[in-house]
Amino acid sequence: MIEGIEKAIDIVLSDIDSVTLHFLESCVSCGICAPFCPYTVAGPIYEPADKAEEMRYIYRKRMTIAGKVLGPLVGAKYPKDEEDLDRMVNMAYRCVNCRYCYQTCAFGIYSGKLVIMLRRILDKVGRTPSTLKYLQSIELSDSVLINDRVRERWEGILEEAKKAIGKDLPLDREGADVVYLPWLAEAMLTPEVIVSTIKILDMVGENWTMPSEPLGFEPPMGVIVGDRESERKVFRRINSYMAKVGGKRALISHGGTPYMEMRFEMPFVMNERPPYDVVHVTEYLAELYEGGRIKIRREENGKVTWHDPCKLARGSGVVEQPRILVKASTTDYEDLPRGTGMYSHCCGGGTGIALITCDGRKLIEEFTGEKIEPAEWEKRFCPPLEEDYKKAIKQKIDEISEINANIVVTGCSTCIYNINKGATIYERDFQAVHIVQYLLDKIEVT
Amino acid sequence: MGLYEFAVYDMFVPTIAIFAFGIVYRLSRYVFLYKRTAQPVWRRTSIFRKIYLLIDAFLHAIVGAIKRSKVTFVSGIFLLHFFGVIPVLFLLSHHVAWWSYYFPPYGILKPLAIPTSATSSTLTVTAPFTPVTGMSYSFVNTVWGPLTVILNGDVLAILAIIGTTFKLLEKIPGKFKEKLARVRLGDFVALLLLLAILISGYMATHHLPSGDIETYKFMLGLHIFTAEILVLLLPFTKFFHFVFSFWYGKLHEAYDLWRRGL
Ligand code: SF4
Ligand code: SF4
Repeated sequence: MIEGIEKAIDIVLSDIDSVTLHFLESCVSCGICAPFCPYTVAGPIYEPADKAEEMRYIYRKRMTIAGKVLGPLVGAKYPKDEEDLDRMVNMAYRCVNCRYCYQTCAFGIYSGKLVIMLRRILDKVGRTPSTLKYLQSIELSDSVLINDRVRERWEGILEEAKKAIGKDLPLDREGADVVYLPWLAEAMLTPEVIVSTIKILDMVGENWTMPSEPLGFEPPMGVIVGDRESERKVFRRINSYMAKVGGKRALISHGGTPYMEMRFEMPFVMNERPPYDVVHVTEYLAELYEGGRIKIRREENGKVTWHDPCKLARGSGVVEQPRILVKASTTDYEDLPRGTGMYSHCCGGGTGIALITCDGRKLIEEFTGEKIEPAEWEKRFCPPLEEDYKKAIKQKIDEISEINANIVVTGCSTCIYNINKGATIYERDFQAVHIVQYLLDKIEVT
Repeated sequence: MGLYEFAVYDMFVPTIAIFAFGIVYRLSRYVFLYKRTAQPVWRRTSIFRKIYLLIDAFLHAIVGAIKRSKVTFVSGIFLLHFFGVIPVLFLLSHHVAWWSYYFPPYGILKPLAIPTSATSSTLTVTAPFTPVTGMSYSFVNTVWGPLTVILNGDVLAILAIIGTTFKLLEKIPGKFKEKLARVRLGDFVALLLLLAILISGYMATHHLPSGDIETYKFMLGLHIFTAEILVLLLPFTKFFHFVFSFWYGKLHEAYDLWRRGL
């Protein structure tokens, strides 16, 4: 028996509610969800229900009478050796939590949620990839600006923003209507998004503020590595900052994990509704546009499309707003052909996957100036993951190529990284940009 | 005592009792695990959008299967469910009579009953003559009209048998070649049981393998017995989707879509 596994299982299963019970008990193995998962291309064993089955083995053994009595005969077992753990890690990290399986399952089962439960068990027995553990430790530090190099990077972004608006930034100011919350992940992946957002807030004369340093790396990293307590810790930090500055509205430019988690999951995790609204920058801009506070200059600059980040669209219902904005900006807009909104196809690298590839590791090391030593088991785990990641992102790249788009506008830093990475690997000549960056020079304040 | 008497007289009450116990047990787990937590602020959408999403939640897996898993759609959804088990189970005339015996209000569906064989299906409203009968309407003059050529027990049972056999065969390479974790031993048991019910029902209807009363009674007994096994196993197997998981899952999904304002 693996040390600590039973305790880990007990902790994770103690959180089951009736909805999770449904996810665990209702799969009939029809395979309808399979073609929609971005990781099915890695092989049929990575279909959503197959990954979720790893969690079901454990659940049946721990919580069903048949599982306790009949064991493996009814698919009930605990992982018992390194080989089992290796398989579990492979399953747990071939999922980007894109919710597409949930949207397409014949029974409304969200396999990705069970995959996250697997990550939670694995985290408790030391099987979280080292880069994610490292990023989690950054997020849990008193300051995410962990060393001089990271601090310099952050201050460089603030300096650039200050130059762009020609005045001091209103940092940590009390009584602002809008509190812009940029994260360290954005500083690493898309620093220009932070500068552009600040510039727009200034242009429209918003009464705004922002923290003098990010409140998290890509909060909550706890949901990515599978650690509830660290999720709560970073949510508490964000909530207390919002209380300190008296913010009524949290504005978020990272439409991946941070937006969806703060907008829809935080109340469940903290068991309280935050006393402020959580708004994505596309919602904010659409509001200004529809309210007549800004105009958008329409330009001809090649074919433009909008990529729906899973967590922003399928996970949070932000589908119409970005289209209103992007369509107003161009004479040549076309939606992506394989599905939009609820049915959009994922970029393939979210929920930590891009960051645990070799390039992801190098990027983090370069950003922080610190070396991250992979554990022994990661040497077996990383090379095949790298290949599967490339296959997963290729589907998005091919979809974009199908309509010959030149510019892919989106609202999530992780999507931008993955799409641009894929365009480089597969030698395509489009580029992904964040909506604030894309609109910046097209916006006119009325 | 033969299998027929055993199935009809001895097994019936235990079957219903185990079924009822199983349903209560399964549902009570849902009730006990229900956790009330804080809710995010719901996104506003119109009532029309909500109705659309509710319908969509029930339909989109089917649409998805038509687009991306055609084989699954034809075998699993179309043959096995829509054109096989569901109409046979609920509308085949023998079954309508059976349901109405135990639950009289079910008799309201009698006019929709599907005849048992393709041979009699020619005697429909479209046939050039109406059979002479003492009843106020000709007994095969179903509301299904010419559709009776397809909507009859024989055709539907054969479609269901083809669908079930295909699903069964399809799972063999899935389990042993591709080593798919989601293909479970229970899937084989469930499909074999279903196949046994379908084949024994078909054979009993046609008085196969021979027309003598003992063989007929045995075959009908086998059909009823295997159906009872399914009913008593239902709460503990994947058949539960039919009475609960499907409905719960889809309603929850629609609720989640409403909340997120999709
Ligand atoms: S959440 Fe997305 S990546 Fe994960 S199993 Fe479901 S479809 Fe696949
Ligand atoms: S669609 Fe749903 S029921 Fe079918 S295999 Fe996938 S998770 Fe299981």
